[in-house]
Amino acid sequence: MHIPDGMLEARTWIPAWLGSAGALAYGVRRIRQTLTDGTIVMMAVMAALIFALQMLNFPVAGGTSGHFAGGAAAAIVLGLWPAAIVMAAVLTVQALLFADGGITALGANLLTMAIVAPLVGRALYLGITRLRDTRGARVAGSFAAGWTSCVAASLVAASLLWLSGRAPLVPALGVMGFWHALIGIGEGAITAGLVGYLLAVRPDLLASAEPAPSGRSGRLALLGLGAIALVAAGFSFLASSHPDGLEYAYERIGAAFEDVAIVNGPMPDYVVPGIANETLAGVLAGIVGVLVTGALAYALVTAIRERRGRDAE
Amino acid sequence: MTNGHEHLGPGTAPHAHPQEGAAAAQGLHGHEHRHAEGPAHRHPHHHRVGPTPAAHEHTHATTFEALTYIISPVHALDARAKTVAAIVLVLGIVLSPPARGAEFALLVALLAAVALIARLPLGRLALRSAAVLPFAATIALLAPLQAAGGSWNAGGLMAATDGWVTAWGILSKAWLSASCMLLLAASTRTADLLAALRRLGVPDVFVLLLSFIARYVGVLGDQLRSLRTALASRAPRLRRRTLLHASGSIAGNLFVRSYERGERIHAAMLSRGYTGALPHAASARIGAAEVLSVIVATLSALAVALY
Repeated sequence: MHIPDGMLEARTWIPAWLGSAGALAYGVRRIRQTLTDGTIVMMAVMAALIFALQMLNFPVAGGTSGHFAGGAAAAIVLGLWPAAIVMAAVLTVQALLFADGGITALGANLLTMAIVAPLVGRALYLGITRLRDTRGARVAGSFAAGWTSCVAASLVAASLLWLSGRAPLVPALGVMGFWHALIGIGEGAITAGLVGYLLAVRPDLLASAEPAPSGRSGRLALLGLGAIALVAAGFSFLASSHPDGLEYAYERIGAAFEDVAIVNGPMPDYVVPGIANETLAGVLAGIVGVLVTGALAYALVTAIRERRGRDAE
Repeated sequence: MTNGHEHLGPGTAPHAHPQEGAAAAQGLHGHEHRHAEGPAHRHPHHHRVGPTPAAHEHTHATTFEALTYIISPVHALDARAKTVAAIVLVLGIVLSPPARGAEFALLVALLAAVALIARLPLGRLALRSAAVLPFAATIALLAPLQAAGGSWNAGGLMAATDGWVTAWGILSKAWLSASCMLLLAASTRTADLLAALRRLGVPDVFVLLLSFIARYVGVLGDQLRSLRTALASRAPRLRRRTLLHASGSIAGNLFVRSYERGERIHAAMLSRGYTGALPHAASARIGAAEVLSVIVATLSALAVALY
């Protein structure tokens, strides 16, 4: 899923670069107070660990295989911003030393795998462990975090490809989402196994990444889900008013040069009411989609938790 | 992995220094040598200080890393100049319209010339950079489909010229950019590349993270491999679900080991006087060759992007 150079247009990769750099700079500021030589060295070793763990591959379907990405696992065991920085270092080494993922596309790859995946994964994990703090809930929460981070990252990547005019939005989201829903099972299972192992062997390591019990984690969970809802709503807004990314961009560029013609033409009377309705419908659809997905994920997690609870008795 | 090799130094037996040179050989030094296949190269190393410091082997973490020790004019260039040149070239490639034949040929010729001067194996580099093609091709082939209005009709697909031009653009740019970065990675030692990043303004802490990845990924990767070998030899035919669960335990096990390794590494660094910044040898040599290589890269990038 590492996007190579040349696939994204400048209108996509430049904002992605700026956005990721800004988010990571904010992350560094957030954790600066807690950074000591010791924690930096530890983060550096963890970065090497995530890189090594990405060699863990597993069969998916039809003879293909996926590999562990580690964004959610890193966010659960290290905390959100340390995980984002560790993932950023891993992706940078892959782009610089292995030509795995492009240099101009690095911003986009950071956005999907170093920011979206840890954010979504940690938000979901904290949200679920907040509801019920048992071993089963933690393991199930890790599975949900791994699976959702994988799918969310792939959906953002599909959206970036669509914004670059590389693929129509709905099929791109569908294909990437479907494929990564399968790969996500492996990601989720390994994340759950990792957290389960730590709970059994070194629970102190896991506890050190827990937020102080002040309600911050609940806010983070809400923030994460809110961010997902906003992104979904934003994309459905764009999608409903502009079915094709390339067309949309050309229209925007054309409008800058020919706005007189557009204002005087017959278009405004025709388009504006239509867009208003479609936009509203699109935004509503996006929010409903997120709520439905969230409810499904919650139901799934509850079911798994109850089964695990029965197994344990 | 250890490769068979022969020394090219004057009058020295393979694997050994002449006795009188032993004292000198204890400092940082290198000898030109050649593995079973591949060009001659040299890497600096220390010998264990002891009564018989003479015998030693030349090993490389990976065969790709061995390429960075080749002795050539390209390898001798300052890493900053090479990094800037490679990134400028990638920018030119990415920002250009889908390359026409002449531009593509120009870029291939330029990259091949650099690889030849660097005495790098062209076939291996080309194969390795071709690793970007499967994913790039999947996305690239959507372009003709989109241009043909989503129809799988063969005639319509053939007629969608714009789509095929876009597809060619995606594929050629992905491959050329990857080749460009691989050329940088193959002709620059990792430590030099990271030092160059730091001197180009990348924050120290981030460079520390990158250098730890470069240094320890081999160690942790080996540990992961032996854990998986142990699993496979004890339980060769696991169901997919059990295998995934076991992989999770392996990941957790490696996490605990790495955490403890991190503590030991930090203690070792402190005991050697670590104060929060890694020392690095400053070797500023921006000469005519460096300036020239950046100018050539910039001109090529401009030619491709604007012509």
